[in-house]
Amino acid sequence: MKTRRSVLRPALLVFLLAAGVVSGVAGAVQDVPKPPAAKPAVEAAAPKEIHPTFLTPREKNGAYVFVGWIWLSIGVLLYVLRLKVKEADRVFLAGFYEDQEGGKEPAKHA
Amino acid sequence: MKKIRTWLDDRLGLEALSRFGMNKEVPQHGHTIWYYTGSSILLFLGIQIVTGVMLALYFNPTIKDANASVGRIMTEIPLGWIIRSIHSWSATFMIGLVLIHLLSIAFTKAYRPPREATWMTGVLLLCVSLAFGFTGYLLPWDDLSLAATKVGTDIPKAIPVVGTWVTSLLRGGEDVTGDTISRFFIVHVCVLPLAIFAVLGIHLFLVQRHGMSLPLEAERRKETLQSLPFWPNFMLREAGVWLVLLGALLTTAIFLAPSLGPAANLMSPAPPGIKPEWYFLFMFQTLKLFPSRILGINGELVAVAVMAAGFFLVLILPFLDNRPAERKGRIITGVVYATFAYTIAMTIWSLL
Amino acid sequence: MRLQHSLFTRRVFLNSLLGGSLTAFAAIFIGPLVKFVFPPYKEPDEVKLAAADYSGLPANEVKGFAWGNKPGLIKRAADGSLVAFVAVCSHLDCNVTYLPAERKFYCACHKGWYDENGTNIAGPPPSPLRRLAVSLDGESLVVKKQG
Repeated sequence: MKTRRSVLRPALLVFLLAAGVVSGVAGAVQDVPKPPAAKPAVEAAAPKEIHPTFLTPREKNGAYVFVGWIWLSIGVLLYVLRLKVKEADRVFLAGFYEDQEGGKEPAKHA
Repeated sequence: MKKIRTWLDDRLGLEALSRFGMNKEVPQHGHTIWYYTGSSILLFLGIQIVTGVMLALYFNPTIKDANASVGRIMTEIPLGWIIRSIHSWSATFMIGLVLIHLLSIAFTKAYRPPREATWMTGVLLLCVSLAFGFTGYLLPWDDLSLAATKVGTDIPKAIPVVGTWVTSLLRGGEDVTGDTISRFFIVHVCVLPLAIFAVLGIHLFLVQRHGMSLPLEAERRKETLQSLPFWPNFMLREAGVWLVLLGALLTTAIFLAPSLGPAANLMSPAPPGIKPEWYFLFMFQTLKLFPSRILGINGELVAVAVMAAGFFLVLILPFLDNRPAERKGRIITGVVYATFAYTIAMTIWSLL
Repeated sequence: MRLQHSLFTRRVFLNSLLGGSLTAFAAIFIGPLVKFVFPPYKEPDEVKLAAADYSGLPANEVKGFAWGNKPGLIKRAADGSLVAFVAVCSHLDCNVTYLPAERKFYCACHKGWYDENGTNIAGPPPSPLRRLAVSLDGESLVVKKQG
């Protein structure tokens, strides 16, 4: 087991890094909404109001994709968090935290 | 990873922190959901600091360039409009959560002894948050923000003796000028952050010291409630809440980004339909209702006096509500409901 | 080969999953934030100047112009043609000046010297002044990147 475990840490690190890089690249490659309404109000003639709008349908769809991607990631994260919460609750109620003596009663549903 | 943790722990004593987190108990009951409001405020404060610093990289707090620099952020700097939008919406989310937090504490009467000081520091934090909103609103220097600032800094004039002096302090002179922008900028970026860190530090210390309060009925019935450790159980749940709030913020910021009006002209008349940010609307509407003279006294002075009195009552609420479980307590709860209803009604009226 | 025991405990697996997902989520925001902090500034590809402003330039004299955010100098060479340099010292970015009496460019910051063709001859500058191509286009003088 010892040799296998020594592979574990670096493998985990590589996995985390890869996940970070892949998601970073995926996020960067998303058509993140470019500065829309590129009509600066610095024209001396007639100062206009600057309304941020999406100039092309591509930009607008890019915004939808980005926001959709964010919510999808949030969904995945919430799922993983849920697993972790259930595990943490289980460990706590079973009395396995430090400084705990023995288990608690099963929780009244919060 | 473990080596890094041990290294830090040997020098900083982080073990004590995680032990504190695990020993801190969060009781589970019907009102536990309101426990999430406090940390959510912290989330948005953090976002404000990050986006604020980023905006300040390009913002110019001078009368000539304030509006132009914001325009540049929105058009030339990559994704500048999103950062500005996030900063603007996060302010709304943060102040909204501060108000929800205040109301939840008021309705559960969590300000009962020994938590009076926590309540008062909390009210101070509300003031600082509103001050952030007020000072930040001027910085884009468009017609709307100029008018709102003129009105807002004019109100203290109604105070006898010191009124003009207070207005002069706020404006950097008799009128709103470039000096006002400089003043508001340094207050928004330096003075208020220092203030909020100081007061927040006290507030959080008091919260940790006194622990989470229990609902009135539970305390009276001396129930022993199931509680979870703060770390990691409650913190993980909070992380979920934060993610959802973050998603909501990003969605709103991208699809409802604020626009920027042309640069304010100090000489032109006020544009029609000026109004302050939503959290000041009820005060704005209340002011509009007061006649110019009441019983020979300046109407505005009466309005300011009423608002000051209201604020003072909110500040000392724990001392007013000293018998929360009895009839007096229920009356005060009723008054809080009525005040809440009043502010909602005034806000809606001002928008019609 | 079937393993007798799992490589990971359930706990380690779950923690890594959580950590990895959170890192991945945070990574989405780094790109845009970095793009914001480093705004794209490009030097101009070419600058058009009014030829009339530079037609009366005597030999061995310079006149300044704006090359984007950097200063530029147009010099009348001995043969009557106009040459243009980016008037920024190659050492540490100070603005250089031309001394007609010495026929040299001089950087006051660390006493760097360039000859009349912009070649570094004395002092700390490691490389010559950057040259730009000058051409006449009707009424205007067009200064372009060389090469």
